[in-house]
Amino acid sequence: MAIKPFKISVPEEQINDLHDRLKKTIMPSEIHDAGWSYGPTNEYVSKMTQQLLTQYDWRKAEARINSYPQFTTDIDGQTIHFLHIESKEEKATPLMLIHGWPGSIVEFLDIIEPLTNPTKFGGTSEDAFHLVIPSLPGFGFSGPTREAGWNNTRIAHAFNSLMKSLGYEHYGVQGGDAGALVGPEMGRLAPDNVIGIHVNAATMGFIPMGPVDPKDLATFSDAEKARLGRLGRFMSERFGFNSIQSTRPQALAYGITDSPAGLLAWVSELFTEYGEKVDMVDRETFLTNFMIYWFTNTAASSIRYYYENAHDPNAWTPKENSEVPTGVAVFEEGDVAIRRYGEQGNTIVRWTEYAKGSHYAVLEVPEVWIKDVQEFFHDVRR
Amino acid sequence: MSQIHDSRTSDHPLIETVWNSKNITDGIYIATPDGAWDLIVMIDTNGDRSVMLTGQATKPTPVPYRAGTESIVISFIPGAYLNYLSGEEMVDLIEMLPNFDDSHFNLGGHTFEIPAYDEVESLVEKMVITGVLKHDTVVSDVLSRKRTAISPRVAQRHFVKTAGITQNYLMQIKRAQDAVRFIQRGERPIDAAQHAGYSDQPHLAKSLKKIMGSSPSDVDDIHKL
Repeated sequence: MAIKPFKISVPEEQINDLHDRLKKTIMPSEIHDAGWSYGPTNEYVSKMTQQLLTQYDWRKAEARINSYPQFTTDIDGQTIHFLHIESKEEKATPLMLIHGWPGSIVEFLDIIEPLTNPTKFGGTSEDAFHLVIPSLPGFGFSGPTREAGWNNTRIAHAFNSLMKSLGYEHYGVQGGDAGALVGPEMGRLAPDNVIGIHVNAATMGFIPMGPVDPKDLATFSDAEKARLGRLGRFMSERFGFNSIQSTRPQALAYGITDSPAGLLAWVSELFTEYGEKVDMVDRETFLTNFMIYWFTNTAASSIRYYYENAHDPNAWTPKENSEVPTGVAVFEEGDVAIRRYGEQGNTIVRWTEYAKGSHYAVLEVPEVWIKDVQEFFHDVRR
Repeated sequence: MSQIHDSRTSDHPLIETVWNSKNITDGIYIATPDGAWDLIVMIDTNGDRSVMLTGQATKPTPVPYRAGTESIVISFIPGAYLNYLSGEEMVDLIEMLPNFDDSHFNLGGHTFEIPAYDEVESLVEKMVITGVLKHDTVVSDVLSRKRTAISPRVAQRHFVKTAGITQNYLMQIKRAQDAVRFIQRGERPIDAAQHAGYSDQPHLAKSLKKIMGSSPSDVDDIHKL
């Protein structure tokens, strides 16, 4: 399995083509003064496309990502792209960071230094990590998937193989969103290699599978009740993207592949909490993340991830407990994970709840997120 | 003299020899099989460095060089191997390893500092720690005759997996190298043949032709022994 060094180099024609399409964007009609109640507004999408055309500098973002060692390899017939930043501390703990949908490796750029070089930030050398940050198969520079079956299990197999091919026998895994599904699966597949699993923005495996018996509601804390409420609202009002991606992704694929405004609007829902927090994530990061999907033509394959998992025959069987120590960080402004459900299938050794931060905690409250990851793995190593 | 060669041994168990060659004029060097695979740091006339990986050579290979350039060659012991390359893939391999930046190169998905002549041990040690460089002790033990009770088939598997060449061929290379050294020291080819263990001088001549690409009277430029 050859591991080839990689640098991002988007051809100038592709950037020009993007600009042409943005300039020719056809805006949909909208209901005046409806805000985001029907979805992203013309105002928001125009502002973003204008920013892409004028102020946003892709080459600067590209150079920034290229300042970290990147590689591609072929695992199970699929290209896997990843960053691999080794700490100067030789005994650092190898750690894989896994993004979700519609996120990317961009989410982790600001925390690379604090995690690989903790002493520079007032921490101790024991907290140093060697970081492996892959792009999920079918996402970003891993390129489109061309085969069926790239569900959480297949991804987890590939990621365990990746760590092994880098010479890492014992390693930790951290994941949010889709990463919080792939991480625990990696533990189930390689319980002797995965030393600890840290998750945030955890959903499946950490939430009730069906309606909660009203009699049990009294046994939930206020915070848990709030999360149940959020989950309920999400299922009834905001689950649509998940349904279409899980059932007919190719129907949506054309719009988000052919139109940059189409893709941008589609992914903005998740990054703005459906319009409730338009500036939840900083603009530069949001746009760079978008560009990665756009330039690699992976919008379509990224949404197929939902289809593959929805059609996995094993999706609904209870998962066995890998017994790998698991830590869950809950960020109360957006997360829905509830401890008792997580404990059904995971060995949870740490459960922390933070008032501030939401689905993209690593971007919103990085110091809190970093500290939680360091503390969890510190305990795991003991 | 078109090239100046310096060499040293190393106390790192996986390093056979470290060479430093300075190229005074333009020329062509015949790289002869020596049973080892190498990492080569090439320094051009501007001082810019790049790293090349060469697998065990099975035949002599002409390597052109320019005046004012330099190379540092790390030769590894036969039992040392790279975790991501099979022995088969290594044989006769010549691969430029991309630089990550001016002072780092990539190998096996990792990033390493390009070493100076007296720093190669820290590079090799880092390669060991990261798991990129591994040691098959069966190969080393068989060659040092520490292990004699091992079945030839099993030993062969280890050799082919790590060195990519059979133990037999490795022995042939060593014997040819011995003969060249004896001739360079002034022995007559007929004596060098016997000394190195060949059945006769024609046998020596044939082996030198195949492996070193030269005749017994023409071995002065072979230095990697």
